[in-house]
Amino acid sequence: MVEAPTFAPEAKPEAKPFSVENLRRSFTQFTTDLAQANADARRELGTTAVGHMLSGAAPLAIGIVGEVASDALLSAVTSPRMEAKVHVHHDRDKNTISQTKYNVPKDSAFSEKFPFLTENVLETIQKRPLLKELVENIGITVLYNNILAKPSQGALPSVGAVDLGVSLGIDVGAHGVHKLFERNFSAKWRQAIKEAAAKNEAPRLAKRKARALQMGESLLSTVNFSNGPTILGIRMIGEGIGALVGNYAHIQKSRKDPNYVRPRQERRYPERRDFRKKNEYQNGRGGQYNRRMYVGQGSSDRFERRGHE
Amino acid sequence: MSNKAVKEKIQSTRLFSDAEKIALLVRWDELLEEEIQKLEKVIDVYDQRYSQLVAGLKHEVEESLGSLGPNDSQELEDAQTLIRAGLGTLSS
Repeated sequence: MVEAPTFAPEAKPEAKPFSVENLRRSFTQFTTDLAQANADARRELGTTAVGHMLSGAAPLAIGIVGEVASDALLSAVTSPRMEAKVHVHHDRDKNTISQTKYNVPKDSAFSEKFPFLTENVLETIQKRPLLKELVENIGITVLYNNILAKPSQGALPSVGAVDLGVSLGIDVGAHGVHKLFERNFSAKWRQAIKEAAAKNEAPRLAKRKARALQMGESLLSTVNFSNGPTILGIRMIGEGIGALVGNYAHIQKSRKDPNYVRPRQERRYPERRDFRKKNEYQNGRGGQYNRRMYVGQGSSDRFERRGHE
Repeated sequence: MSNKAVKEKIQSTRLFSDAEKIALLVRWDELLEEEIQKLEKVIDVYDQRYSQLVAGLKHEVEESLGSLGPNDSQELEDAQTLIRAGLGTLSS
């Protein structure tokens, strides 16, 4: 008689004893890992144009170039209010730029992060928490590059700027833009800037800013740092920083309060007398303004009325 | 890979919110080829990681739920239903 072989019962995978706590831990771990994966992916995209599109940040401009840029930046960030007024103190006769030094405790971590900043600017930024936060959180880096000044006047090479994120700066003229890109950037940059420059030659002072802006816009569409950072635009001196800081304050408020509505901008010159009233004041007395203004200009009601006063 | 395929990846990925997807697609023309390639790579990596995480979670939860039998209390069955529904949402 042949004995039938015996088989051990088929092993089933052991089920863990049910525990709500274990399940909760699994889900917590899952959400943590997922958040980490998301953060990693966003960090990868952070310094690219995609990153800025995702952040919803307004295109930030900028390139500090030219003779007055350094002082403009300094003035902007040291203004008592963050909606900075930019006062440029540039003595064109002497070709000097006035700068102020501040005694602020150094933040080594911050200075290591932005090694290309001068101590003046670094200290200034640290002194202004909002600007520091702006620089750190939005991924703006400050391209502090007063390349037109002589080294003795504090000129700096732009070393390191290319390796960092979107640059915050100011354009102050086509010449500065030229110099910056000719000296410090790749052939791709130089080509782009030359093409832009070729379209608008020898501008007068009033046109220089527009030209620089045009160059910046040209750069927008043509130039991109190969290793991530992108310049997204160029703003005018003063307006750039003012708008930037102002916008950031509103961005912060809207993040905290979803119902926050940015108020309409106040009138730029609230103290200025209303124009029509001014005219009426001058013309209503029947003096020389009245005659000069209305004689020969037809018979408006105002003329008829005033003419018989 | 064509731009169309990358756009489809953007639309299907869980990396971005709907608003972000719209922002990306609206300003698509501003992106350079290399940026698009990088974006695609990041999306691929993220989606792969997402699938792995979901699979891991599913395995752990199924393992845990496997010990529950028909004689368990009503509360445990409710929990089972709830968690399975949650898993379905996560993995859909």
